[in-house]
Amino acid sequence: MADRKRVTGPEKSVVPLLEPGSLSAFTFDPEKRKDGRNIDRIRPVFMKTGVVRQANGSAYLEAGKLKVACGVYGPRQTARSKISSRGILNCDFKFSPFSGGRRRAYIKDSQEKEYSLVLRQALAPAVRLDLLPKSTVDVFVQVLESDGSAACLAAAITCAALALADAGIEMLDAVAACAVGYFDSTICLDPTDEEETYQSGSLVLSYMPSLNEVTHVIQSGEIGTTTTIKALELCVDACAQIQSVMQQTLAATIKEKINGA
Amino acid sequence: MDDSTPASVQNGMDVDTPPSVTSTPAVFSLDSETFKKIHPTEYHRRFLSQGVRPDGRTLSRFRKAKITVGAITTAHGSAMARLGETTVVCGIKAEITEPKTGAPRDGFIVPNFDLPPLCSPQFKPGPPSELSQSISEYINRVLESSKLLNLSDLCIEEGRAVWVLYADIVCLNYEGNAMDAAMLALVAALKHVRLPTATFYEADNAVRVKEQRTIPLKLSRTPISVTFGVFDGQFILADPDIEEEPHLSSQLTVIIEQNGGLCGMLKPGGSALGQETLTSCLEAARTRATHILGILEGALAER
Repeated sequence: MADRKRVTGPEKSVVPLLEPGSLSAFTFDPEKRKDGRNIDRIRPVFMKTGVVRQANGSAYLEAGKLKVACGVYGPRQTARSKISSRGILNCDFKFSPFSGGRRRAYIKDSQEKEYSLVLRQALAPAVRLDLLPKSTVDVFVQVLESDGSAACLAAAITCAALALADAGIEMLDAVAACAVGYFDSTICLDPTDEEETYQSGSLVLSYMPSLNEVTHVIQSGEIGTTTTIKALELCVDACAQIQSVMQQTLAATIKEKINGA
Repeated sequence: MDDSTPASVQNGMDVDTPPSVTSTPAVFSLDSETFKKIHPTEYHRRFLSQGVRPDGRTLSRFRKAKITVGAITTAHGSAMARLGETTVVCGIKAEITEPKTGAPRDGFIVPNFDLPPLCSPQFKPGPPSELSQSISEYINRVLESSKLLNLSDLCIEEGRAVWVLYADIVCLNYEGNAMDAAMLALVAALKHVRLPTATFYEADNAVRVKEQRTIPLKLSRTPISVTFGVFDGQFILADPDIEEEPHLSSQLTVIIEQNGGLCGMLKPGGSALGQETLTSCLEAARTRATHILGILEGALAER
């Protein structure tokens, strides 16, 4: 696609194939994952707030190789004279061009559009939009490095919830999200990119741990009901863990602010 | 202004009270925050006439630069550069393409600078802003004209396959002077690039690569960008930040290479600059470039 507002390279380019034999054959073994985790373990997660100075609230999240940044602007006046008694939550999800296996274009593709939508659906039930008439809250998520698309979406939701909290926007509860991959009947928490290519299905759960309420579930693949229920339970536990990290991060930010003032 | 006398004392006395912030409501005065909002240019002018800037720097002082390389594993080379709070990340991805018929051995390098809406409320989603377009274009021109990279080094098989390097620079926190930060991240990332050994197979008309990435790029020079802001046509501000940028009458960007040579200069209009000012800017830019090169070497050695 011609994009006259950017420096464009050759019309077409491809990711080179690997020499045969140089790719170590991947087999999924529930007893031994490549990064040493058990199947019921999420990646160690690091979070930080206040990374973007100009934003009302911002957060950075790192889990293994996965790196996501989020900025929240608002509540600000809704553009044009759109009158609404409720606030509008605007979400924008973007992969950086270098974040994945092949280079991504700047123009949003269908996956990014879908994830923007999921982001809004997962966060909106938690945000007190009824308190923000005629206002818009803009949530911008930028993925710097992706490692598993489902895990990336989950990380984006968590990171955005943290940034909303950092912006001081009233919420019912923090939203934590978590992904699982199905390998037949085995459930594997927080799958990486490599594991994802071999999975038979996936599930992403967005959950408000303190309220014990689910805001969004998205599942793909053919999976039995019992397995799904087991996966949901696993996700709920993981979300509680993620939320405790979120709380610690927010508490640390507030402590810093008090000590700094 | 006399702030030391308590307000109650002044009001109690029947004398001509001096203009004081706290005591006389009749005298119109503003606190500094309000003054800054109403008269931003005058606010800066008063600081600069005292030889200091609102953030506490002297006029010739640059912000602290910091570089880290290799944070992004999905890219063939990556770097993060910070100038004060301005943060940009550059990731370079290498892909395979067919060369142009006119230059069968030449590869491509495609630099793009992006200011996503995340980094500042100034930028909206959608097509790139004028600022990011002009920076992308200028960086592209510097890369081409300085022959930073010998494009035929990117050849895999003459006339059939060459490397294309996509250098995407993303700003995460915009606090002014995007040009210097973008150039710095780009150069650091280019120095960090490691390409895999690639072979062209005639039989299936495809390129295959080894898994290990070992081959560094041969850069002919190390260009460092140094930007100055001109305020009122008389004050020269090194490394202007986001608060100063809108009030500058002109800007000057100098691209200096490692041995002090000049490989680019950009002064996008605005107020005129004297010969003397230009010379002193060049001198300051050389000193700054040497300092930055030290930081860059340190960051690359840490890897």
